[in-house]
Amino acid sequence: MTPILLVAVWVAGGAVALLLGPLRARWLAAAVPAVAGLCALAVSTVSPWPGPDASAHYGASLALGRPAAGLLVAGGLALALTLALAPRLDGGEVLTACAAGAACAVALAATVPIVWSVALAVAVATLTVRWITTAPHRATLAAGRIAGLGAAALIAAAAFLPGAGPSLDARTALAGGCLAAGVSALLALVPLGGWAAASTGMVRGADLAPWALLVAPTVLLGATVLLPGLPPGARNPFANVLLSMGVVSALWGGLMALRSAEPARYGRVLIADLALAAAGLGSTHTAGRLGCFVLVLTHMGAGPLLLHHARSALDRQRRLAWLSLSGLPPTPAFWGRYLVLLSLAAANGTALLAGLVTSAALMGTAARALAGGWRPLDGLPAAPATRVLAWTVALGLLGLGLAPAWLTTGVFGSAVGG
Amino acid sequence: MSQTLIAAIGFLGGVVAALVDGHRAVGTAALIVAITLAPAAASVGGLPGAAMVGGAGLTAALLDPAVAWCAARAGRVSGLDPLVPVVAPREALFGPRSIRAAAAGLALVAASWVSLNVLVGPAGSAQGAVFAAAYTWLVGVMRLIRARALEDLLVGAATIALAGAVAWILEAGPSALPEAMVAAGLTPAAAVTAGWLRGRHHRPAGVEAAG
Repeated sequence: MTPILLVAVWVAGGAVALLLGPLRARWLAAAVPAVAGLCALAVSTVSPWPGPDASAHYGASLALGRPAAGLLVAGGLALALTLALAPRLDGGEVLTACAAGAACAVALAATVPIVWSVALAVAVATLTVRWITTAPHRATLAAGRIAGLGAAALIAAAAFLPGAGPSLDARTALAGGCLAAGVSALLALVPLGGWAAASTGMVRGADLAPWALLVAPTVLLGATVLLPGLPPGARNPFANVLLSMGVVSALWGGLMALRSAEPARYGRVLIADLALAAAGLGSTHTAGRLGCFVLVLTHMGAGPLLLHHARSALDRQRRLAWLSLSGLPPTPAFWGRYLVLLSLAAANGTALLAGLVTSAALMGTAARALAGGWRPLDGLPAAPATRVLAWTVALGLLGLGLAPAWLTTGVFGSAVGG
Repeated sequence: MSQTLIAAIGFLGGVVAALVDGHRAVGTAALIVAITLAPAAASVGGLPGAAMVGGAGLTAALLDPAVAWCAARAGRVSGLDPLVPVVAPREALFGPRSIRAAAAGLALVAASWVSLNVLVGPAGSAQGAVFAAAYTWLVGVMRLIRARALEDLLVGAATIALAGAVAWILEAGPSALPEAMVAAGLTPAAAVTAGWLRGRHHRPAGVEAAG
């Protein structure tokens, strides 16, 4: 299977969901992203992965690398689980997820920066149009404004990237600056991250999932593959912004998570961990890169349970998921944050201190969630199959902590482990 | 065509994109920006480059009302009208369009700096075309930042997509048309989205008057 066929599968899945929308069959909603995700297993991958900044040799063709294929499989399955565990669906979520999935598949397979950036712009536009139409509010409009600004910055960076040189001239600095601004906005780093924090409290979990489980990891993976190939004049500002803004955002996100109540609490933890992952990438150390993808995989497991509002029927499963995010050994969040802290220690003492405070705040947040105070009082039932699925997700998430490096390199390939 | 003339034409298109409002704003902005950016695309990409950019704008301008018409026939449903501001600010001395006009003036300075200091493309000689693309991109970003309704966001997206396509042609040369076409394809997509939402959710005038 070729990458373009994989994109066609995502598009066809969205079309099927659109046509069969009135049926509102939950199994169909979950099956579409699951099948599309699993199709990535059949895509022939290229090694080494050229990434979005390849030479003109590739032209506008699509080439998927092993990490990208792994991300599409894991992201598709995580989206499917999120839809399967959603309390209610209106049918539009599947269409949004499929459009974002197709755009992410193009972005991950792009071999020129303009295709990569435009694909991310399409993903962001799809999500924000959905968010604004389902929850018209200042916060969702801000998502369109700021995330759209990030996508626009990436489009501008695409025009400057190919000719960026080793010396720090205006063009190279613009390439690095636009990349940094675009990635920071799409990952919701301070000072461009308010849109995500506010939207997590406004938008339903099934609508938020494509950004959390697919678009943000795609941006992180794109940054991972772009960083080593950039000339120093563009790489240094890009990496420094990811490191410094990532650490500041993680600290802010961790402290805000500590004082947040449900349902915004998990969104704050997710944003803080994404910021830590960005800081790990920005440190340019191998441990930080691995930690980044351990955190991504952790939230691909926790998101399907915690993105939704609390339900009494799935209370114990959600508590297990919060335990996995506590950061206590040997939970997966512990390993992810530990690896990122190792890279921060190698980069900067202040960054390490901020990372330690963030980890403590996130541990406190998980402790608050586990201690109660958010016990749901709804009487919304959950079918036995849903309960079993939720138990499987929660236990699988705990299992990730037993072999984090092995599982992460198993999903994303050995390239993310150095 | 001289680079000064290309820059002047691009500036006019940017001003229209900054100020256009109301229903069909996406299609109008896309068409005007495409026409005014076509000389910039032609300066490096030749006639195929200009035709690609112009074609994207024309397609968007045709699809916007056509999709709205089809969506209206499919039946109106409750939901967000893309023309209605999601956030309505307080009445002020200077309205949203005045602020956009002022921001378009500031964008003139920024785009001039880019065209004078940043070499785009192997030759780096198409300074007027670089100015036109940079100015249009900045206007699109300003539309995004100052957006009050979904229609504003889609005008920004359409404008930025066309500017990105032209910038890529300027950078990569005439052989880059397929990639530039991917970028320009976002413009008709924005117009289709605007037309669909307007047709599905826009309340007829009679209903508004009665309400």
